[in-house]
Amino acid sequence: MSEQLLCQLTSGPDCLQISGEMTVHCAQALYQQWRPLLSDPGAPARVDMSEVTEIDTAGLQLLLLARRTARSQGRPFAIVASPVVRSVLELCRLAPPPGEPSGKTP
Amino acid sequence: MNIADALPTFVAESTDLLVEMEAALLECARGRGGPEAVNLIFRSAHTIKGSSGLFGLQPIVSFVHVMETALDQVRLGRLELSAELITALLACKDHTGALIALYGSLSPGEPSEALRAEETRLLAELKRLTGIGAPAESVERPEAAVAVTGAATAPLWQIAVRFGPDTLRNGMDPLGFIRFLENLGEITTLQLLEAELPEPAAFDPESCYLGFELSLRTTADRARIEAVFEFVREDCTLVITPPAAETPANAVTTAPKAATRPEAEAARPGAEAAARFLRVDAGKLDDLITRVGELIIAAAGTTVLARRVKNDDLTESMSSVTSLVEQVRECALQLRMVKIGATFARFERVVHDVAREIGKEIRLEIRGEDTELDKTVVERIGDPLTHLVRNAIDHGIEPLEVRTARGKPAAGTVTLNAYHDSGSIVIECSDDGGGLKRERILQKALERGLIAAGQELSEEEIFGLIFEPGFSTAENVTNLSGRGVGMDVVKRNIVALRGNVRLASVEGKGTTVTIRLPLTLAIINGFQVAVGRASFILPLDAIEECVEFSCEAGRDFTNLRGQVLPFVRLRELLDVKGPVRPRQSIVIVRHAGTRVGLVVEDLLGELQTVIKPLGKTFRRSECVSGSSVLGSGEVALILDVPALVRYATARATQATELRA
Repeated sequence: MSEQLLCQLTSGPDCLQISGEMTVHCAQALYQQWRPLLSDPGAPARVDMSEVTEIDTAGLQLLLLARRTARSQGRPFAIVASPVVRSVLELCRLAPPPGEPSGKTP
Repeated sequence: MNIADALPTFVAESTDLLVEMEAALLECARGRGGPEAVNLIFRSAHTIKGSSGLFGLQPIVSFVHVMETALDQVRLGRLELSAELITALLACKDHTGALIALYGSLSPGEPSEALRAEETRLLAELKRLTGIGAPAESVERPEAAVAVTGAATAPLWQIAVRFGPDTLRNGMDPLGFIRFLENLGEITTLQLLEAELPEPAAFDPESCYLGFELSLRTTADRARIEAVFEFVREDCTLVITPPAAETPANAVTTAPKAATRPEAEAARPGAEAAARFLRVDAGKLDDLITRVGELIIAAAGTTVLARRVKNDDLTESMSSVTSLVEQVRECALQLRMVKIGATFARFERVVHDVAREIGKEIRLEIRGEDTELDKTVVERIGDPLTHLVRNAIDHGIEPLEVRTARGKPAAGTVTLNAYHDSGSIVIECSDDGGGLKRERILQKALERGLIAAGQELSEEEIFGLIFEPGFSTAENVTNLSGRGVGMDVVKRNIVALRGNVRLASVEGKGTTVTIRLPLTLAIINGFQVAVGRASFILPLDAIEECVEFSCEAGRDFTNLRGQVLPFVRLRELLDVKGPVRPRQSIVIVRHAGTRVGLVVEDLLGELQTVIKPLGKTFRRSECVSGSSVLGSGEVALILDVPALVRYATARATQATELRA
């Protein structure tokens, strides 16, 4: 099984990029990769989710967790949303995502 | 929610529900079903309809809707559950199964002509029996169809829902339910409840922590809103507050277990049981068993090493490791074991249908339903058993007049029994019918040239003739059996499972067919032989004896105690290269009454071995049925004895013809 390949997390200097499927199928793998960065004060402030092809409740929870830990440390937190991510955020009345007021996917 | 992922679960769960429904219907048919059974039948239909709607499978929804409406009438006591209605509902259940099989695949085709004709017939039948017809103008379409127009004026409902921690693990996506609510109307406000999200360290990415509070503007009623959460109502907290106009002061339901249909909830014994079980991909279990097999091999290798270095502590510790590994293997194999009860229960239906068809009164008695056996075996035993049960009903049980004349009870009894006996499982199918006439069997066998005149046969051998190809003593051919195909196919199927079948019968009293099967297909008792440097494994129970090699000069047969025994030289057959070992032996194997010899160069003794399926490369090779890894890490091929016997016999016949 190549579960890990369904979803990829790449950490850059100022941007954390997630691509693929943010679903319960790879939530565990994604969480394991993301976790060290959650409490890291030097973690990138921007999460680029423009390449996310699918997101479910598990993916949303991870995003909420990241947002909350960032806020509790007083770090800025911004995301770039792909259309599917945007649709979930809108459903949950979480849009527009902070840091991206125009609502456009770069 | 990813439909493609959830669809197999839908199919599996619906199939389970249909099985429950059938069992309950049959219970009612026997007059044993009370209101719980009726409730269960209704609920199964209701749930199938609900989930089909969730997947947008409109054809299933509309068909099951008619069934559900009829069942609701029964449930409310407005309609009697007559034998005729039960038969119709059983057919409806089958049809629903066929629809689910059709639409439940990822690329559903068009329903066949026959399927459509069946649907029309069933709907007409239901209409005749209950007066309930298909929804002309769609009395109750699935929830999705209720997309409300002019929603702005519709009443405003308050919904608070918190999902249980296992929701995600159960394959449900809360967001999917919220999205689905949008089909009912307009979500005007929504508050995501994320307070339950734990600290990162305590966070489990596969647990659900979220809840939603929302206002929904819809014309749908409470039942319809609740139905959206049908799939998670076991483990979510759902509070639905109706619009002010409709609200009696105390209508705020705060029951922790979603306030849906209390009566349905109460009468659900299966629900609790289901929670204790886990649906596991069979492939994962096979994987586990393969790994455990490898572990056994590795442990055996280490034990050899430990002995070689003569370290007592190490040897001792290895022996406890080995014993643990053995236990793990037992447990792993146990995981594949399922109770035979479900398979037996299927025959209630067979008996019900067949008995009606031929107008006999038959009772099915089931014993030993808790006996466990390998899932693969269970799956493959169904067809042969069906044949045996049908045979028993059709040929075994006598017509009513004969039974009365013989002083037997009017209702014939067919008994299915299962039990374990020294490493195998025994399944018996018996009837209290007329039994077999030995003389007729002998006469028929003579006619067919299966036996020679004056041949002395034991009782068992005589009844064994029944399983010969093309043998049938049925006096008249019926729809069910008696076309001369059957018992030989039954035997072939069972032999393919490495089992055997025997028949015992007392004329006038009844017949018992006994099937004996290995408990599992994954492990066999093997006998290891070698040719050149290659090792091969033969199933131990196929081996008769081993003798020293001898042969008639230039011929491929030997004289075994005055009889001609054809043999196969494994070296030639399998094209083994390398130096020939000096001492050759003949291993005599037997299949379906034929014996042949296999010429090998070394006998290495018995061993228990884990069968691994062959890779693509070997799949087409004739005489090899599997492979196994030996303690030394070498691979040994498992030889296919039936194929070898066929090959040797064919060659022997050919040689005779050439000489003639």
